[in-house]
Amino acid sequence: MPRTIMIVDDAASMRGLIAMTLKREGYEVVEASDGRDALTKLTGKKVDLIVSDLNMPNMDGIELIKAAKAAPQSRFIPIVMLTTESQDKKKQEGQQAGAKAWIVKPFKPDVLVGVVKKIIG
Amino acid sequence: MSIEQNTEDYKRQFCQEIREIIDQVSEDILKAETAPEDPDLLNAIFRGIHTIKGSAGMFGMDALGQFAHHFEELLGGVREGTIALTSDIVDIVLSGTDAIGEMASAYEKGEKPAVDEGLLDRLAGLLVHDKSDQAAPPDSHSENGPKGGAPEGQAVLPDGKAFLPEIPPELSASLEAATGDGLHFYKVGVNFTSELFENGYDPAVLLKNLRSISARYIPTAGYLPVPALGEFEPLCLYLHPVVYLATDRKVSEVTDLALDPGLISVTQVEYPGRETSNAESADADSEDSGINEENLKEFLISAGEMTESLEKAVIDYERKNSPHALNDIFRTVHNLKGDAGYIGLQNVVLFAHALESLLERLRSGAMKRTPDIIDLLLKATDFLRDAIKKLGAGEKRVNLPPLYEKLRQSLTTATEQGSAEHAGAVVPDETIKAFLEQSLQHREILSGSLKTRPFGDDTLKIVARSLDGLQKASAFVGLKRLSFLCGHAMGTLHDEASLRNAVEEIVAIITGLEAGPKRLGQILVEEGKVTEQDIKEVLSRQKPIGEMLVEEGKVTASDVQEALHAQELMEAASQARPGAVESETKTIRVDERRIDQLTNMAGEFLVARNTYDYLLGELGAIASVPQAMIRSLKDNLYLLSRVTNEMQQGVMSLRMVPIKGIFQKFQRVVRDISRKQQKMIELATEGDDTEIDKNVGDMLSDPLIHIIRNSCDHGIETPEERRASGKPERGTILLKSWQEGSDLIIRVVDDGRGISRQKVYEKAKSLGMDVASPDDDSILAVIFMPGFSTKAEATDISGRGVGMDVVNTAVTSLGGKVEVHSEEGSGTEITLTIPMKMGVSDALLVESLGKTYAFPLDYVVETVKIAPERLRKLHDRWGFCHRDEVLPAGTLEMLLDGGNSGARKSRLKKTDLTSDKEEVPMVIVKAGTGKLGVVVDRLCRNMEVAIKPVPESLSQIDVVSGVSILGDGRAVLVLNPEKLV
Repeated sequence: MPRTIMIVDDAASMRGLIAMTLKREGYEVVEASDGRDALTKLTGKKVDLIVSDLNMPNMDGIELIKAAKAAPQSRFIPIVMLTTESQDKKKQEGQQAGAKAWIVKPFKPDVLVGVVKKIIG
Repeated sequence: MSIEQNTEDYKRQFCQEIREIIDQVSEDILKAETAPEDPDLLNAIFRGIHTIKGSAGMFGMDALGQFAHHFEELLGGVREGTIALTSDIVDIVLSGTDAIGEMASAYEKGEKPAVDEGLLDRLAGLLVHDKSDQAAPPDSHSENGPKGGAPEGQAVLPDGKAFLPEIPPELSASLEAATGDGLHFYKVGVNFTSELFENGYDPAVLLKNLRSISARYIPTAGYLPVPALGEFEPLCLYLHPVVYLATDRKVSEVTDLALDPGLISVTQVEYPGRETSNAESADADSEDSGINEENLKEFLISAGEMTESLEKAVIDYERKNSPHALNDIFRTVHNLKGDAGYIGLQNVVLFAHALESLLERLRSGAMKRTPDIIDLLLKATDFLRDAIKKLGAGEKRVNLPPLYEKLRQSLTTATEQGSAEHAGAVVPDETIKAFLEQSLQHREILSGSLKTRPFGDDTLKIVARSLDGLQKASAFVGLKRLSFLCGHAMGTLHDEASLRNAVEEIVAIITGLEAGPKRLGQILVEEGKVTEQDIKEVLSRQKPIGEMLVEEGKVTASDVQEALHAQELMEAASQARPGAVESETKTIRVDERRIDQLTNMAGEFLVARNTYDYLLGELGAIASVPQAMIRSLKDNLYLLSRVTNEMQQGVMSLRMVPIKGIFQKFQRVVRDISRKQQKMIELATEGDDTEIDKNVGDMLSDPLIHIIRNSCDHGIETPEERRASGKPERGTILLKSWQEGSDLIIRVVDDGRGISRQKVYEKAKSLGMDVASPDDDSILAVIFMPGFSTKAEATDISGRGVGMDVVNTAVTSLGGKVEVHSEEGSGTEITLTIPMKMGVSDALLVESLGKTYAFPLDYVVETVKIAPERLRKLHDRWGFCHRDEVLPAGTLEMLLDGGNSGARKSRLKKTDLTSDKEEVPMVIVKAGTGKLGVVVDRLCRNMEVAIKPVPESLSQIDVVSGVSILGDGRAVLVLNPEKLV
């Protein structure tokens, strides 16, 4: 059964690009436009991994991690940050919140796929 | 659909998004221009441009990404507040968004976009301007260089690092040439210290290694002033080079070339003209070691605190000569050095290091504590404080002061003395640490190469080099036995068996060093100086073991001495190892404005809660509302109240700092004056832990300095005078602080000559002031008038007549008051009473003549209802007997009848208390001076009120300590029972 990955990014083009990259590897994708949207879409859906942007309106990536970790149905979903943010401070914050990996945009598709495969196979 | 086609689609979609983003950004920036304080707007703008920058690279729109990057930098500055959002900036941002839009359109059509270079230049101008004096030439301090005609230009010390790494023009071309190769550029500072140099660590090796990994390697000379040959110190490291290099290694890989990351500082240089090759390297853990403003800010704050405590520690050290104080100083300097190194302030590191070495010698006893040394330490503190202040004011570099030379001089002279006086070399901890690390490396080399490599010339070369290094290093730290063994082993190089034996022994010693301190006897046994039997024998006699062994003739005194030294080293080494890290309280620094906001919000919250309370009361009066409903609303109100309280307390506690921070500044003031005027003055403090609102503390700091200066200058007499009047020679100033109700009290007491009422009186008269007589209570208040001083001549410390009025102004502006008591001949006592701002307290609301008043609940003992006839006339006041106590009493309206001059205690008339009621409600309050029964018309309820200070115009009314707003919006006066009683 194909694994499902949720892509959270406020830029539709970026979501499309990521989705394209992941679909090519045989993953199913769900898209969400920000953290809040992601939380709504998480309910009642089986998601194996989340790839999220950091800077987004309404709810940013780190808040999303925290919220996801706080809810029983989503607390075990690994979350990968994919963002232009490269400050160590932010990375640390993300790591503390529970991000599995931190990929800096612009990213090479191979890197993303490599990270995703390492986490969910 | 092919992947390329797909990508093209997303690219088009992205261009559409860009247009949406820039529309939003343009709109937001215009809004922000009118509301520059709105952080959300600035964030949104930043995020928009950030998204463009980040995504552009993904779609191969590098030029756009680059362009957006520059704007992001600008907007980042605006968001952080380092760049003011002027209309010029708004113009540039708007032109920028237009340009981004055009570039996006060009990409969409498949054209190569035109980059608006003119705009980028303007932008660069702004950013550089903002970062200020990059181009300022370093101050030459050649005058401070050694006498004897050092060649020109030598004394110029290039700064180790600039904040924005700046590339010397002659290097740019070279770096630019390498840009296409996707290399990283680093500015590398090499921070070897003289101690390490002496110990065999050679910076030249590191430089060679750096060169070997670099595609381009451009060293720039950096050195300390090199003295004339006569004064030249061969073991001193004068070279502190800065190297620019281009390499494919990462920051961490470059840092790894040095034995210790502290020895090297690597800064990535962004060459402004270069395509961001970073963008290509999708590096999930790319390094960023540039100095950022945030780090600098944090450094400045903590360094400021450090210099404060440094000063206090130095003064403590002067007074008590305690090793504890010296350790404090040492620790602080060490931390400062570390922080400065982290931030890249090379010269501060150098300075702190020299200071540290001096302290180390003091600590080990190689140098004696003299007033000169203390002065030197204080001057060093001053320099550090100044440097920090200048950095805070935007200066980018710290120049080494003449003092630095002085520090180093005092070090060299001290070493000579030290080595003459102390046979055992004094080895700083740091060196021991370095030695330990080094010896462990040698151990690996020695045992490793003998075990794994064939016994041949190559192996022997390695072993010999290692033994040689180890021999010198161990001789340096004073481990004679190890040094001897190394020498011995080197003599046996060609005899495999004895070399192996010798090396084994060396390895065992090093392992022993690492393992931690051993017993003296054990060391001696292991070194073959005594047998275990000898040890057991002497142990039974319970004397210091070394002494006993010498007495027995088993060892010589110098053997024991050496073993003791080895033991010390082991102790130091085991302490140097990590693991014993103390747990620290974690703190975060928060922008003060945010706390202010929170404070205000918490206050508003309280008012809203009170409104809820009031509305609930109204609701309760309506018969049709079901009781159950009222009850559950009330329950909810209780919950809300509890949360409000906790929040209020929490918020207030954020602002509170121990008053210690202010008090410790004064040690220096007192010390300086006492040294200058040759008085002996001691400043004692009490209640250091009393907490004070940070702002209030800052405002009080200056006034307190004035008071203390006055006490030192006018109050405390010279030792001779003091002796003559039978006082101890040393005068004391006591600085005391405590909390009283919602007031903070700070009291300065000195045991000096006191204030001469006669002099004050005469002076006041001569200034045309309206004063009654020298004995009048109010006469002392005159000293707070502007321009008032009884000193015939002003000293440079006080007496110009400014000062005490500053005290009065500051304290009054805080809603507080100043009181002076002085006994001629025995001292002066000045008390500042400061109401804690925005304190929330419980209050009892009462009504009198239709007006509502509040009593702070802290003062209320109880409320009773008493029959009017129980009130009796006692002398000129009314009173009654309550619980076996006779208490004065009065009606509130009566007590407040004093108008703006306060309560009148003696004007009670019989008629005031006549009442046709059987019982009257009364509040019994207790103040510092006693209890009082206050008759009111009605007792209302207890509630929490946010007490604000009385407005300026009402501040004369001393019976009112504050005002508050009730749930229904009415203002209520909060009474001050201290003044009613």
